[in-house]
Amino acid sequence: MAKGKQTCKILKEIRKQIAAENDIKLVIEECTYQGDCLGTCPKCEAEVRYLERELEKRQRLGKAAIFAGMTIGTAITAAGCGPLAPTPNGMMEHPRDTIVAADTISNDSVEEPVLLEGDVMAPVPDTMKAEEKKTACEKLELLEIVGGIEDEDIIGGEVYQLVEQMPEFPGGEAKIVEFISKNIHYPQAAKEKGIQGRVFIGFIIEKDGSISNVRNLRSVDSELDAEAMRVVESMPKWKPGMHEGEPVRVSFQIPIHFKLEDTQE
Amino acid sequence: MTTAKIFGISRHRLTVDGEGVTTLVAFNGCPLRCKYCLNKASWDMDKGRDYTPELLYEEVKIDQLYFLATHGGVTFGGGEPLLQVEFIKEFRELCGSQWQLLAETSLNVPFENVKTLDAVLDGYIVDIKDMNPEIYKAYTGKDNALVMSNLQWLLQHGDPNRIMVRVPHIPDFNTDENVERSKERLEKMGVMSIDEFQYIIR
Repeated sequence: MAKGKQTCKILKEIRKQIAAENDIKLVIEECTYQGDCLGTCPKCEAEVRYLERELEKRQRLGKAAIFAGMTIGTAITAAGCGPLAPTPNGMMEHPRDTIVAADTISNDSVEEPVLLEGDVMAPVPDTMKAEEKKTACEKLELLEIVGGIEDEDIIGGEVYQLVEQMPEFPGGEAKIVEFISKNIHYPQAAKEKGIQGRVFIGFIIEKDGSISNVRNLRSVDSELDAEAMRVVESMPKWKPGMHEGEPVRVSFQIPIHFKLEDTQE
Repeated sequence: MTTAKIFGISRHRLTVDGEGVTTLVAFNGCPLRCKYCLNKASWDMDKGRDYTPELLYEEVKIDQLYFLATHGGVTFGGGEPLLQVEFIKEFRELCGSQWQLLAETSLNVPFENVKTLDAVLDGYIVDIKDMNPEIYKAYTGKDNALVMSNLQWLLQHGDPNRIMVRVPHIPDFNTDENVERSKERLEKMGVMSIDEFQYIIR
């Protein structure tokens, strides 16, 4: 099973249970993405935000949120800083679906991987020193695609974050990564200065699938920001989001990770 | 303003270090120098990122729904989380009482830290290394007297079930017999939950 799938499945079950316990209508589409993931994705995160909003609505009406009977296990197995058990191929493995913490570190400035008992070890590049960056080549990673955004400045009418049928990039999520990887260029000046980081770009997928309202939600460097926005603006039309049988506008947010990698490795 | 260096945050850990869905927060700074430490980055106080409790709370509350639904929360590790007394106290004030806050700790910290944080934390995962002081010192470079007294105090001041003690087989440092002795001593002290496991060195 691809990395993250088991986590995804369990989290999805939790969301289903929350919805069922609280009489919230939640339509969950089966994820068709076959590759490794972080156990969460834009659709997953958007569902969580949707559930939170629905629970808030109920609380305002005096109904308490119900979280009864959601036990996913009580075994404390490990969280320490001791060594792991290796598999025959030399990778570290634990009999469960695990994640490398570095993949889920949510801020770029936290660069060291957290290695924990039971984590699958994967090679994580060391933080490069400034002089090493000068000889580095670029590497772009689309680490994750996170959920809908809330922005009152969005122009053009109502925007949804979670709809019955979420918009889809032509060919699916994996193709977004491929599209960005193929089309993005590491700005030379940023490369020479050793600037790296994750730029968050927000945008709207319009009713006709076109991209609008492209904006920078988290800046790293003006050139990296501009390049990330350029590529997002150049995306082809998506299959638009549908709600109650009608195409609707849906907000999206994509982090694009500009990362330098040592050529000597 | 209270700040702490944090070198990693790991979301969606499912029953790995506590009940339910947990987020692991790894602090820099550790009093021990274990030979096989996996997170030697935690020894370096120049690495990691400065967080305030507010900033951390804002970042991890994205999973609040999962925490509440599964009786999960945040597990503080590192490094040694019990060195971050004020930070964890302030974090608890921010997150409220419903999140489960656990510490993955060596307990090799001043007693005052343990006593203060026991009012804040819901549970402990104690990495005991070995109960034999000589083995402990050889492996960690430190004495284990504080570990023993802190563990004893925790067992006598609260529900023993909130403490899980991990007892590793440490190649070149302890034997199976040493591990058995550690377990026996822990059981005599009143430890209810013991996790015996093998360190395998890369």
